[in-house]
Amino acid sequence: MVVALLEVKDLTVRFGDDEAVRGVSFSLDSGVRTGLIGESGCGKSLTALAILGLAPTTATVTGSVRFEGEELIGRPERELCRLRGNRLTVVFQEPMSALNPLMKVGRQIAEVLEVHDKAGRGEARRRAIDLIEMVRLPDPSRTAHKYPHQLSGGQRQRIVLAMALAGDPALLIADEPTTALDVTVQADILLLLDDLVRDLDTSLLLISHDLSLVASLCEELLVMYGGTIVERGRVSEVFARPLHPYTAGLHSASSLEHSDGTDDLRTIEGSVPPIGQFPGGCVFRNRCEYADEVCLGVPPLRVPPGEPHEVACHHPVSHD
Amino acid sequence: MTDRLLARRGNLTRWMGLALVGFVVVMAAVSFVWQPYGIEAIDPTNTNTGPSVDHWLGTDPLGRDIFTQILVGSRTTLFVGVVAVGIASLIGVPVGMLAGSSGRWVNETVMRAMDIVFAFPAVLLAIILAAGFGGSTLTAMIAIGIATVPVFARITRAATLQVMTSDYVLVARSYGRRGVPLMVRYVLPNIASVIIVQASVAFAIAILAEAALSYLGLGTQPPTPTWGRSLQEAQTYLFINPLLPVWPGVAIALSVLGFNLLGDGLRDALDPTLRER
Amino acid sequence: MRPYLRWGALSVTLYLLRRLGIFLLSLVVASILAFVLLSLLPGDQAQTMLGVNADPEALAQLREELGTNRPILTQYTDWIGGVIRGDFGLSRSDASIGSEIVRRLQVTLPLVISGMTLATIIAVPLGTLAAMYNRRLPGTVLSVASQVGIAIPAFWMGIMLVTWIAVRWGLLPAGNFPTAGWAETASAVRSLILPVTVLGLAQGAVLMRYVRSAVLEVLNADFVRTARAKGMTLGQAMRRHGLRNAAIPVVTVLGLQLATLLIGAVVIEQVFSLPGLGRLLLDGVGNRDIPQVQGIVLVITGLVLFINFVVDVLYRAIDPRLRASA
Repeated sequence: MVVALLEVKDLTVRFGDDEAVRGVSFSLDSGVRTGLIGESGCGKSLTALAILGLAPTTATVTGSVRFEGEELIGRPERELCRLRGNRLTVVFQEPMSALNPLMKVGRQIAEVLEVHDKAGRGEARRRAIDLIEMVRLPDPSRTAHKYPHQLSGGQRQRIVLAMALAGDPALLIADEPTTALDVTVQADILLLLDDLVRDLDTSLLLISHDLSLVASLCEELLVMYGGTIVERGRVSEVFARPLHPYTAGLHSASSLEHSDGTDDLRTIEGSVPPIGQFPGGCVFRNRCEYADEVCLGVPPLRVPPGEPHEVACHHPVSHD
Repeated sequence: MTDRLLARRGNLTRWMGLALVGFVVVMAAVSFVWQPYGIEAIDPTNTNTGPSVDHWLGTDPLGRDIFTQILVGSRTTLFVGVVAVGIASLIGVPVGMLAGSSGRWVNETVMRAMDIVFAFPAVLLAIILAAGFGGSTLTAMIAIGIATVPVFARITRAATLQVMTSDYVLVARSYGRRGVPLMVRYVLPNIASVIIVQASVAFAIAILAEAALSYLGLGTQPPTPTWGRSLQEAQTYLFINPLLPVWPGVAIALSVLGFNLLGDGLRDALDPTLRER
Repeated sequence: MRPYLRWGALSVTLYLLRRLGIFLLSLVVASILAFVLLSLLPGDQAQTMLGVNADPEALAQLREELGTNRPILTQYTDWIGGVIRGDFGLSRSDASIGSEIVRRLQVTLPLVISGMTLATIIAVPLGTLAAMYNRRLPGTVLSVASQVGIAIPAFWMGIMLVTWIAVRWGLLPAGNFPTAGWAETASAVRSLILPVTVLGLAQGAVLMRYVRSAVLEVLNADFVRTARAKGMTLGQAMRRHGLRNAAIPVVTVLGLQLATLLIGAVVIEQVFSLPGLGRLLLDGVGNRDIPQVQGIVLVITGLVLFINFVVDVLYRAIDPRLRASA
């Protein structure tokens, strides 16, 4: 039996009595690029932080996260540290604040190698310059001597990416890596990210609220709403036949191909409730046009008859 | 249980601050209509007694009632605080707004001038004034007030700089609002909470400064009682009555604590963005 | 050499020169203020010296001798000219003010510097702990302790220590700095223990609050999370990335506090009867000895401005973002 690269089971994150992530389960295979999509506040970033063991100290994390066969939840921090930045790395959303303003960026990259004893000081510095070149920044040896404030947002995100790839990771988690950037820069960074994970044969978990972005980069798709996974499948299949009313709503709200110019752009009614105020049963019940008394029960994630992928809904959208 | 208590600490802080400040204010108010004894009344048969039914906090070596001294002393504390913070904010806030809304040169010049004023702390200014006029309540208030101007100016400037770049001010300016009307109608209401918080904290510092000046004999003169001078007198009687310095000190500490807590509580209540994580 | 490095050095030099210029200019303005304020105050020096019933001729002669009948500008330039050469003039008792100030600084400076050191030793670890245990019991206890410490007037704490430790228990002297000064090292040190404790505790409580909020800020900073994502433990991340960032606001506060301490020393010297600069200043006020007060006020404001200058420069040295925009 082949062990999945990452296997998440019943992952739950609580703040006091409020569940922000409620029993999320999924698995990722080696070399596969997976998108995790959802509106802000649906718990997708928290899921990533919980996998990395970096959830806020005020949060309680339960469930199981197995990475390369090893359980991560409940592990002492020292052991988690051996994985983080090494086999398991992350790129956060805000390149403006993710870098230490008082340290030259070359040092910050080299540090990754030193922390994991992969190189001595001099060797790490040389490798850092190679990494800066790899993320296609001009004049690498000079860039290494710059401070974060001397770089643009896009350049800083390239540095963060270089740090994430320095340890030759098996899995790279990218949490909204381009959201904070200008549109033109976004495209460059995505192209770079795409090329690099393909070249290095790294698995990617791309977290985003942008469906089209995930579609262009990923093969697998996880749709998250209200702290749970509501739909899961191959990107092409989910796009062709979105089964959850929420996914269908996201899909038509983000794609223009369905509008003929006369229709109003379709949107999803209402907005994401704050943590702890989701309805019981199906979390989407209060915003869903198909909701009825059946939806008072929690829908399991399963493959409906005649469909190719899983959905957690009592009334999957019919495409016939 | 503890978690919930700790989470509500902001509320608790505010109420404790309010209660302590309220206590001092009530003490001062009461002293106008009722005092157990006259401030200069001497009871030669009862010198240096401990707390009793007749003398709640006891008497000093001259036979004066300590509670009366503390009660009436709260007036000076509050009076000096109000006037000093008033002077500081009336000068400091307009200066800070001017600096925060003007070009680089005005900004720089004003703030450098504030640095120079800052080099004359309250006690030093009070000493300068006392050298000419002799110490008095007035010189203490002016000294503390002027020394506190830079604090208000700096904080107002920082808040103004921030508000000036906000959308609503930009919109107002695009409609041609400028100068004093822009400042009063758009900027001031939006920085008011910062200034109120600062006023509470500055009040606490003013109480400490007033006490120090009275202690040094550079503030309010006898026979008006002040907490600071009570401490100075207590120090001369240390060998006779070591408990004497306790009461004025407790009074000062509780009032300072009250205004500081009130300031913290107000910060949480008025400006959620400043709330501590 | 790479050219951008030389540009960097040039901009640093330019910044230092500009900041030094501002410092000197502020010093001149402050000296004018100190002199003019004190000279224009009511109360004629000659009159004070000779009494209200003095003979008008004697008064005029004394004014001539003191030079107080000349225009204020001339008086100022004479005074400041002397000060620059190290001559602060003569006090009422015909002693050299300059050498008296130097003698008194030998008490005040050690007092202030040890007080600041003690405050830092107290505040940095406790403030950091308070931040690490924020919203938990140890953090709350430490925060409450610091609030109470801030509210207690330093001179009251001094009086209480004198009452109990010095007078009642006789453990340490209540001041009594030896007349021989530092020549009697042991008793000089002993006489400063209580005053330094008072200054250190009082300032430590204030400083702790700033350390706590600076560390809290950094604990929640994204770059610390990044460092942990690289594989550092929280402790490593704080040591390598957090502390330097937290140091920036703390250095500023340290500078401001040093200025506060200088003034706090005036009061504390009174409590412990220490022959420092503050006592000299208060004696000067008591005797209406205007030249002596002017000299000391100038020294104190000068020190405050100098501290401001040093803090500004340090601030730039720590923070590369400011180095570039010089």
